[in-house]
Parts: sequence; structure tokens; C-alpha cells
Amino acid sequence: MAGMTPLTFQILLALADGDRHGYGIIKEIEARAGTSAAPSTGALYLALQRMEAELLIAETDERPPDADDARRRYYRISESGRAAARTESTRLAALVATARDKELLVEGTP
Amino acid sequence: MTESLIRLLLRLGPRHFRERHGEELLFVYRMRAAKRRGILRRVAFFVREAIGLLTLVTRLRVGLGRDRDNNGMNVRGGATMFETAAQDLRFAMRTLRRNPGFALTAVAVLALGIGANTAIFSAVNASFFRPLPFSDADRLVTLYETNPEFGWTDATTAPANLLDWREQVAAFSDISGYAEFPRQITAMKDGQPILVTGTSVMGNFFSTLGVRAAMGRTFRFEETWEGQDNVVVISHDLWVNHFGSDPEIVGRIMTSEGESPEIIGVMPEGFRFPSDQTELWFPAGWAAEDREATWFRRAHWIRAFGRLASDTDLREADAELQVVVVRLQEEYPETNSVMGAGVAPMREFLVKDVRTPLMVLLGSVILLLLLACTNVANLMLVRANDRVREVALRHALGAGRRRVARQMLTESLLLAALGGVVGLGLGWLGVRSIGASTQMGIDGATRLALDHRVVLFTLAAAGLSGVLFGLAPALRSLAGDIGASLREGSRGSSVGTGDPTHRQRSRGGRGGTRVTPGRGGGSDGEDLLAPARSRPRIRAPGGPRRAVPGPRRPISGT
Repeated sequence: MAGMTPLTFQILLALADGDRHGYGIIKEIEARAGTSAAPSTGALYLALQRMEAELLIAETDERPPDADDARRRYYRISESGRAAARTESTRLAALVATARDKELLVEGTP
Repeated sequence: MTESLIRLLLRLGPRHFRERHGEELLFVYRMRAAKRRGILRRVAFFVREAIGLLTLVTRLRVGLGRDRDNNGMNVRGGATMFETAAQDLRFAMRTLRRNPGFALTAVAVLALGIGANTAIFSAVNASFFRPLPFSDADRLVTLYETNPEFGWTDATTAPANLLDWREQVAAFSDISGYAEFPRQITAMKDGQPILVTGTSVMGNFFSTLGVRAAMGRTFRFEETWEGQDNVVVISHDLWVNHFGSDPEIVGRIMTSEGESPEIIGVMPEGFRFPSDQTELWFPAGWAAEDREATWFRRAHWIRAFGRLASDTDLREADAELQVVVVRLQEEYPETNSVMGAGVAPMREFLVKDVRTPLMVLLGSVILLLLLACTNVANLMLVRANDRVREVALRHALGAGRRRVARQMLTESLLLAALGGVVGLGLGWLGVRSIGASTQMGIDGATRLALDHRVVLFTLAAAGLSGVLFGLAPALRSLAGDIGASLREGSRGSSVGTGDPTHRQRSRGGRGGTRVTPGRGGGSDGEDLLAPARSRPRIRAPGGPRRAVPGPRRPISGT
């Protein structure tokens, strides 16, 4: 079974709990996974374009109450985006479970 | 600065995207760039951003493609050309760092080969390609006299002949001349004698070359003649070194050798034609009555040059010149009976003596570079033997043969690039030390410089070398036998592809098995995941493919 690209998954994760603009997505990924794990700006926008075309996310005119910059373009996860993220999470969880069964994953390690 | 480059890259993308997301994207870039501290981090960040953006604009141009299905799943290889190249590069850097001895040797050998080429090409560049400091320099021609009795093929001219050409050949908009050898002049400065090097020129010297003074004016044609010749033009260097960059210099009187010419102009910085030594230009100062004197037609010491009129070419000009030459032969049989004349493009004439030696030198340093490439190719092949297992493992994990070959080539190109950078430095040092003792380039007109042509040449030399010495290992990795290498590898030997029995067995022999790589392509990270997505299959010859659960025993090490 083919997986979703890590970047797609990261973006879906970033949008799972609220709408964000491009820079907000980057900041979220950096905070979670570290600066070096964040995609280049070009790669981010390429992924956003693709994901928009695939209806995983959509641009929104509404602004979250804590919007730090109302002029920016905000993105929102769609229902199918949420479903895809859920499927991917399940797949990854199953992989991790297998890894644990085979004693590849010592409890307590990240 | 970097932001404007990013903006430029963005312009390559489609307009609708730029208008919709351009400012936003630049904002993200700016915010992220501001967080990078230290020059290395900034450069690394910029390179990564540029690659990302290049990928973005190419993909937007060629279409996002169907590489995701409706659930956002990756249905194609995934990585774009640039991403793959960036990964290859990172991997190549790691590989070289693991083996610094090899890397240093290869870079040093290449740097010497490339450096020699840079040095010699700088000289070639100065002689043949750097622009002459004249306006419309390709319309300038040198005129010379010939005399089969004396064996003259490109002699300096007699002033009287030159003046007749100037008046009678319409194909030239003007003809002028200068004394080929500069003269030492003692000038007085604040009561102290100083020695300056001056060149005697005709009054229309500067106007024919098409150069203007930076301050004041240059000579007029009438100032060629005695009585009107009490003027000098000085070089920028002389103005700075001896006159303290005096802004009121024009109009000042200079005392030299009992005369007191007026300084009428200062030339632009760097102008020193016809000799690197020239600091000052003074009019020829010929006496008008000498025009009819026999010696004025017999003594040859003026290097003549002309500017082609706008509607003529070299052939027409030469034809017209020959008509005048014949006329002068008949008119002045005493001096001109066997005197011929010719015309050649100025640049060609100025470099005629160095052309052959420079080409021979260039040829030999190219051979030297080829030798360096052969040596590095040998080193690479020896190392390729040591890496058979690594390569086989990468194949088994799903990297296609072409991908591995590309990786090999990337390593070669990286080595070549490093060699090129060091070589550029070495070559430049070499050129500086040669240039300090020997005159290089066209005297008084061009100098050695590390300009864009030299850099481009060095880049091309490095790139070609990289391909040249990287081809052998890359081709080898295309042709190698993966199964044999893996089996050899697991028995602990590192050299396996050369064994003919193994090769035969696995190619088509009885009972041989063969590991067919899973789906190829993809990035490094994805390659590692490849077995999970599409398992390697083991196929008995002729039998059906069947999937196996996984490697029977762990494959150890790379």
C-alpha cells in the first residue's frame, strides 16, 4: 500500500486543529518536527497547490479569531482531507504496531 | 539581494500563480530567511529555497500531473528532477566525507589540471577575447608596409606615405599613427626631475581610436605639426601619482626638457595604449616642410592604423589602398619603387606573434587535464570495486540502475566542481605570478583578468572532466550484475562483479536466482521504504514471479 507523502501528511496535521496561512503551517511543522524538517517554501506551495487540486484542503475567507494577519491566505482541511489523514494515521499506527511486535521499537523512545 | 533572486525565480512561473500567491510566498521566504543566522546557514537556506522554488515553477509550468490519486496518495515515483538532484548531491557529499583521502587526492589532481587550463586560458582570453579599449574596435585596422627586397612583411610606415594614404584612400574614415617605441622624458615637478614614459602620436590618434579624455580634451589633427605641438595628454596614473589628482590640472604647464607644454587632458583610468608603460602622449611635431623631404618617405617608424568608413569592408579598403600604393610607386620611384602596403584587422595584427605559442600551450594543458581525468577515473574505478556491495544493496532496495548511475555521475561532478573551484584559485595565482614578470595580453590594450569568460571556461573544463572521468564508473554500475554482487557481498568479499562463473550462473544458468528490484525511482527516503510497498521478487528462471515475505536473513552493512 502506498503512503501519502510525508509533507502532505504534515500539512494535514498542521491544519487538523484550525485554519492557518502558509507561514503558519511552516511554523507549526517547525515547532513539531524541528526547523530542518520543514519543507522549502517552494515545496510547501507546490504541495498546497496539489492538495487544493485534490480537494484535500481549500482556501477560506473566514478568519480564525486569533488570526495574526488577516490579509494572508488561509487554508482549511476538507472532509476528504481529514479522512485521508485518518487513513494515513491508521496505516502508520499499524506499521508502528508491527515494529513493536518485532521488538524494533523500545517503549519510551520517541 | 537574495530576495530579488527569489523574486526572479518566481517570475519563471505562470502568471496566475504569481498574482495569487507571489507576495504571500515572498513573505514566507522573508520571515524564514530572517531567522537564519550565520553566513553558512543563510547560504544553505537560500540554495534549498532556490531548488524548491525551481521545482515549484517547473511543476506549475508542466502541470501538477497525476502523481497523487484522489486520496492524495502517491501514485508515481514522487520526487521531481530537482529534488532528486539535491538528494544525489547530499548523498555524494556524505560519501566523499566518508573517504577524505580519496576525495582530497582526486580534487588535488583535478585542481592542478584545471588550474593549468585556467592560467593559459586567461592569457588566450586577454589576447583574443577581451574587448579592446576602443569604440567600435572591430572597424579598426592596422596598415603596414611591405618590401620584398628587404623582406619586410608588416613594417612600420614612413610618415609621408601614411599622410598620402590618409588623403587619398576614401575607404578609411581616418588614418593615424604612433611611434611604436615609447620614449623616456625628463619632466620637472616642483623643481625635481621625474622620469615619465611618453608615446609620440599623430594629432588624430585618439579620435581615430574613438576614445575621449576623462578630463579636458585630446589632440586635434593640426597639433601633429611643429609649432602647434606644445600640448600633452597624461594618463590617469600619472595624474594620480605625480599630480596628486589635482582637479585643476587641465591648463597647467608642465616643464620638460626645456619645453613647457600645456596639459590639455587626462585619459580615463586604465587607458594606456599603445604600451603598458605609456604615461603621457605628445604630438609627433613634424615640420610641415618635411613632407616633401626624401627622408620623410624613407624612414619607417610610424605604426599606422585606420578606421574603416561605415560603408566599406576590409577587402574594399585594401583594394583602394593598392591603387594609391601603385600611384606612389610611380610618383616616388627613389623611395617607393618596391614598396607595398597591406591592411589587417587591428586585433589580429596585435596578437599575430602570440597566436601559435598560445595555441600550443593551450593544447598541452588540455592534454594535461585529460591525463588528470584518466588518473581520477582510475581512482574512481578502484573505489567502485570497493563499493560493489553498497551499490547492490541500493539496487535491491528499489533504486533503478539509472538512478544509481546518476548518483555515481553526481559524485564525479561534485569532485569536478570542487576541483574546478580550487583550480580556478590555483590558475589565478599562477597567472598573477606569470603576469607580474611577463607582459601578457595585448600591450597597452588588454590585461589578464578573471572575467566571466575565464570563469565559464573553467566551469566547462570542470564539467566536462566530471563527465569524462565519471562515465566509466557510471557505465559500470549500469552494466554490473546485481545478484552476483549481493551474493559475493554476503560472503564477505568486496570484489565480485569480475568473477565469470558467478556472472554466468546468474545470467542464464541452471538453478540461478535473481533479485529483481522493486519499483524503481523515488527519493532516498522512499527507496528505503520500497520493500514495504513492493517487495523484491525472487524469480526462478522461467518460473512465475512470486513474492517472498522479505529477506531471509538481514543484509548486513553497506
